Amino acid sequence: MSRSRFSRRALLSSLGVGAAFLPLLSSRPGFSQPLSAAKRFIAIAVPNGVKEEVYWPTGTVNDFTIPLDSEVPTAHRYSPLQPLRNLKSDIIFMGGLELRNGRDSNGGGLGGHAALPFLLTGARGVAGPEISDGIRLSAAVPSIDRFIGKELAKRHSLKFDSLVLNPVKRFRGNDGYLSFDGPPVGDSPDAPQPRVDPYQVFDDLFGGENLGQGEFELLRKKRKSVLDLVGRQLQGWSANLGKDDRERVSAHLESVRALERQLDNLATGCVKPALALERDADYLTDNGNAFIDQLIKAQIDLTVAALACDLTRVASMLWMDQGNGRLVFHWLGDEFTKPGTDFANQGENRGLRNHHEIAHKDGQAEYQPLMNRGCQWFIEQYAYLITRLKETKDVDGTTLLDNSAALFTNLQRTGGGHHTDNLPWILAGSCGGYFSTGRFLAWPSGKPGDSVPQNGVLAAICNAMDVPVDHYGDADYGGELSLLRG
Amino acid sequence: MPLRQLNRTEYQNALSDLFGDARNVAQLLPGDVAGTSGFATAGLASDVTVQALQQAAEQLAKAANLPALFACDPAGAAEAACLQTVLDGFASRAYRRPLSAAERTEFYELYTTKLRGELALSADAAARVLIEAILQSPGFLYHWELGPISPDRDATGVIKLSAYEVASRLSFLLWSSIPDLELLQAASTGQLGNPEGVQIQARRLLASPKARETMRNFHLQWLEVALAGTNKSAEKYPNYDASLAVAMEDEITAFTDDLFRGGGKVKDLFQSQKLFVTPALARLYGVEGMPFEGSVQRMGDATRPGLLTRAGFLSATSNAYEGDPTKRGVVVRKRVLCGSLTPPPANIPPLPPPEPSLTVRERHAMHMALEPCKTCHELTDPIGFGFSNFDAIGAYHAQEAGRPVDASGKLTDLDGKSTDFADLNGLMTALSDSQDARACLTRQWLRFGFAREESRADDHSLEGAYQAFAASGYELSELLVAFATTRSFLYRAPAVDEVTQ
Repeated sequence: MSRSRFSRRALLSSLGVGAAFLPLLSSRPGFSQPLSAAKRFIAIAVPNGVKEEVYWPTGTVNDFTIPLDSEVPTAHRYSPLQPLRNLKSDIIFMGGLELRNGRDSNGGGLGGHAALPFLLTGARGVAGPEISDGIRLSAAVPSIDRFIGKELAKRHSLKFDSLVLNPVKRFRGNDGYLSFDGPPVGDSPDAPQPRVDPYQVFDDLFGGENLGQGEFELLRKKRKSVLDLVGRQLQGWSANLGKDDRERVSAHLESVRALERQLDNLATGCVKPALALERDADYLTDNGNAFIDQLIKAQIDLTVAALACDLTRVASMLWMDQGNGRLVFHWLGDEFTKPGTDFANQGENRGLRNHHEIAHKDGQAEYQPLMNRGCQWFIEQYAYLITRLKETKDVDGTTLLDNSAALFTNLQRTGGGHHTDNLPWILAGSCGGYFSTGRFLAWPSGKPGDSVPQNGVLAAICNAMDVPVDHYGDADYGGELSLLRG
Repeated sequence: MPLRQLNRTEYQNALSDLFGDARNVAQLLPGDVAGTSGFATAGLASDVTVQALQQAAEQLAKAANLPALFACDPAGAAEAACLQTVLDGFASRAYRRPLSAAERTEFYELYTTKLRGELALSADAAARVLIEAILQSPGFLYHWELGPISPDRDATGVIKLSAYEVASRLSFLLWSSIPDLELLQAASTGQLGNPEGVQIQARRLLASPKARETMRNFHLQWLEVALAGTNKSAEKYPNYDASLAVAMEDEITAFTDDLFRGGGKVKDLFQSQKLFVTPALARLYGVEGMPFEGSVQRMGDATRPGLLTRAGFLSATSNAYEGDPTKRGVVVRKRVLCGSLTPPPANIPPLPPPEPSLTVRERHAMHMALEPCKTCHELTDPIGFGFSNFDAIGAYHAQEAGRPVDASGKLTDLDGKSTDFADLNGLMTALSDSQDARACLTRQWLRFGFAREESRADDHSLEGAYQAFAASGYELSELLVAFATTRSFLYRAPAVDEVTQ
């Protein structure tokens, strides 16, 4: 596939992404064309918690304040939520949530390192491959992004069930999956492989081949005939197989069908976004990469474009795995690239002060500001997403943000302590007026110190997205957290 | 063995055997995951995987020299005959067995009806799409042990593998790749129908330079050595760089390859003094000035007994500044002895900053004395203390914090029995005499070969392989030959729900 047209010069001189996102939906028959604006859901997850002393807003539910950097004690230097100050009317800041399903899966010993299979599934885990520290668990049910995404893709014939994005490729570990399609098959987690390469995502969304119409049609037919044969062979195999093997083959078959569907649904009427990032094979290596900040930004741009063009209604982004031993915030300054010590031997970026090390040592004076700055950087990216959604007009004249729920989750409350109660979660967008934003819900239970299961948030999002549920995950953790509606 | 896709390394090696170097296209695939075996396993094929497989196949097909690949030219006069040759030759090689009649028909129809007919492609273009189809089809992508092809059950209900299935198991175990023509020939002529025939091929494969690939895969994964991207303190280790890290990993490959192909024994694994060094690694080991060409073996450096004293293992079990006795002990306990450790508690309080006047050992000893850390760390750290002479990149030092290094410690076996050792040589002697370590090595090869954990049903085979291993005086290659002729290797249990015909 030729990508020569994405030369560096072409990219740098192209339009800014903001101007490129006009959702000129195709009038081609068969292409989904919502009469009113569609609802969208984006889930983001980051690990390693926050410094609680400076993180939480202060004040009451409807009248609360987020401090500026200049207003926090000098020992902390940064106010993690500062980037959201001007967006707070679009946001619900949540506290008092906990991963009770995770805690109940691991004899009370759940650490934030083993939180991902629980975060968006709301169900107790089932036996699976090791996720970390000798804990062998995986998700029992799909995560809500896949649950909602698949339902809406089926209902509206969308190109993708959902976008699953991560700035690093997975290798070896099972600690990098936020989205799940169901319980593990044998010892493989049933988790979609995250997309990493923005150029690939771009091609997948908008059809990247630099070909004439006739050539492209021929390529499509060749690919379809190959996929068709592969699909038939897989189907032929599965007749005689045992249960696990059959599920493995059927997962493969489903993926073949998904790829066929992607060949069929072309976003011909959409204005393509520009990527202000040079294509570089280095960001596809197994060893983490030096482009994480740029990749996350490009992935946000592409997500907004895909949502605007109604190629999918759901996206999930994990930045980047359960411990972030491979994430070094090198773009934030030299103090982040000094060699680390005790916890710097995790992952492939080992040896430096990676996010994992910083979080473990967030009690030490030298590391405290680094921890806050790292958290703040994640929040900046989230703020960028919110802003992009807000400045993108939807088909009915509202903004994408008006019709979206953008959930920002953390796997932990604290860094070194690995606590999974009183989680610092954030929800932006009213999702078509479903949620009542501009509030700080410190303790949804009404009792300070008592956390409620995150299931209430998961169920609320399903309902807001018009995929109604009584509860999500295990029923005994309760239904929708009605407080979110106001 | 459970149905699974070739992992990325196997996929890469298989394509390299078919097309020449295929490293670049294999990198398109998502990485493998660690299955319960502890070794790299392909995950479920998601749409991203399937798309990467499509791209890899298209790139290889586009670049292929068809007459060389097929031994016939589809664009030549004898197109129909060439198509048959492709199915008998290239496709069968990729599938590691002759194609079934149904598969032949499917490929034939794809080529003739669809590509040449409906899409009116040229013979050359159609042949390239045929390659794409073969490389994306399950017959190539999966370790197929499907039963129906040759179900031969014995009285206990287990299924005897077909000769081609045995050939595939053998070549993936010993080469991490597809069988060569000689092995396929042995399968087709019935030479793999008995353990003696399997033994002959196992020895042939082990003697081949292609076995190096398995030595690399097994040993790096076994000892959890993955140095790419690892950083060390530039201040403390100015000579450490990416090429040195590569040399460290290469030494592990060369060291073990030499043992397996040169009659090496378990005691050599833990005690051999042979070094395999580049000039930079020789400097690190303090043996520069010795004659070598490229990487060469040298004898007689008493500070480096065995694989665990090589820079690769020592660097991987260190942080940027210093060796980590806990990590070293954990790898020895879990991977070398097959011992278990309870997961650390969830809410570990933040650690105090290090005290510079203390040695690494002294700091760890203080931590080890604390409750509740004690229970586990007493099983690991005293092993790790044996490596106290080695820093974060595996260089030797006799002194630390102005005092002579204390490398004494204690090796606790799986029954809880402890052996005290005075220094590194003592630890290595204890490991090479350890029944646990020998049994564990047997298990680890099973986990690697089958990409699953052992079960009770494997007990008899593990015991058999172990006995043969013992009878050879614990010669490493004999362990593999013995393993390849066990019941677990030559038979399989039907999966739950499986329909066998």
